[in-house]
Amino acid sequence: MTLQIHAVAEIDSSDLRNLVVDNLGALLGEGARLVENMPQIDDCCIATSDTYDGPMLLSFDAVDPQRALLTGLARMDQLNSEMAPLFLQDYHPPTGLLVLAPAAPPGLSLFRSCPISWQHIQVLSVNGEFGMVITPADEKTTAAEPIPLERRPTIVESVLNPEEEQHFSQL
Amino acid sequence: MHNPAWRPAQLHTERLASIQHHFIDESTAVRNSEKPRVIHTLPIHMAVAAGHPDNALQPHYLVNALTRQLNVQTSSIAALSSWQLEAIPLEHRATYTNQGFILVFATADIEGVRLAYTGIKRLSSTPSRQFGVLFSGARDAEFARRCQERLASGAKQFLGIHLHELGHLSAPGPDFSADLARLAVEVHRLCKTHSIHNQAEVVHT
Repeated sequence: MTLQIHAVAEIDSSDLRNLVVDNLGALLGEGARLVENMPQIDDCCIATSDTYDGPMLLSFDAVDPQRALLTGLARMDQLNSEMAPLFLQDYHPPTGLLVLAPAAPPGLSLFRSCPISWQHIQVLSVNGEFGMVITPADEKTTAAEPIPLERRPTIVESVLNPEEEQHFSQL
Repeated sequence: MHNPAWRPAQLHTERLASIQHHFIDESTAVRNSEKPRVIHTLPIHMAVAAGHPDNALQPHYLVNALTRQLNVQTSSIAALSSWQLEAIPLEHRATYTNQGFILVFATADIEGVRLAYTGIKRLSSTPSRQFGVLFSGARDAEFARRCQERLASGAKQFLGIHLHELGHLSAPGPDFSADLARLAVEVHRLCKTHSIHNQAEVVHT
C-alpha cells in the first residue's frame, strides 16, 4: 500500500478542532481531556484539563499564528472576566493558554513571564485522511511553560500585622 | 484548584444527583424508597509554597487519596454516605459557614507556615471553627515539628485558636497507605466531632 502524504493548505475549523481533540494526550500529557459541560467557546478554542487537572485553554489555527495567539488572548480575557461565572455554573477560569500554530506567533516573547506557550503543528493529508504533526516549539521562541497545578504557589496578600510578621519570620 | 468543574467525570456523580431535578422530568424520573444519601464535604485550605518539593506529597494527590480513603473507611459504617474534599479559594472566605472543621495542607517551610496562618486567620471569623494542619515536604521529623510548633504557637497567641496537629505526610512510599489510613481516621473523628451540621442530603436514585 502506498501512502499519499501531502501538506494541507486549508482545513475546515471543525476538522482541525477534531484533530486537536484527538491529540489532547500528545499535546497536554496523559489524562488531558475536554472540560465537561462547557459550551463551545469559539471555532478555534477549546477548554481542557491538563495532566494535573489544571484548566487550560487551547487556541489553534492551521495557517495564521498571529490569529491563533490573539484569539486565545481574547478568549482568556473573556473567560477570566467577572461575567463568566454568572453564565457557567461551577466554573473555574483557565490558568494557562497553549497556542497551536504552524509558526511562532509574533509577539509571544513578550509573554515570557505569563502561562502562555505554543506548539508547532502541521496538518497533513494521509491517503485522504487528516493527520497532525506536533513538534515541540523551539526553546528560543517559547514563552514560559504553564505551571502544573501542584507546582502553582498559593498566592495570598499578606494580612499579618507587625507582631505576626515577627513571629513568622523564622522557624 | 479543584473546582468541581475540573474534576474527573467519576467525581461528578454526587453533583449530578443533586441537580438532577433541573434536567429530569419529574413524572418520568425513576424513584426508589432508599434512604437519602449523605454527602460530607470537607473543606481543605492549600497552603502550598512556591518551594513545595517535588518529592513531597502533592495537593491533588492528597485530595484524591484522602477522598478515596475516607469513602473506603466509612462505607462499612454508613453505606449511604460519601465524602468529598473541596479546596477553599481564599477570596471566598465568607463561604463554608456551616463547616466546623477545615483541613489545612501546608508545605513544611516558613512560607508554607505563613500561608497556613494567613488562611487560618481569614477563615477563623466563624466562631468555634476548628482547623487540622497536615504538613508535607520537611527534610526531617525535627524540621516538621518546628513548622508545627511555630504555626500552633502563632495561632494560639494571636488568634486564640488551638490547632489539631495532623503531623507530616510524605510522598507515597512503603508507609504511605498506613499513614493515610491513620490520617483519614483522625480527620473523620475531627469532622464528626466538629462538623455536626456539615451534611447535605440528596435523594439517592
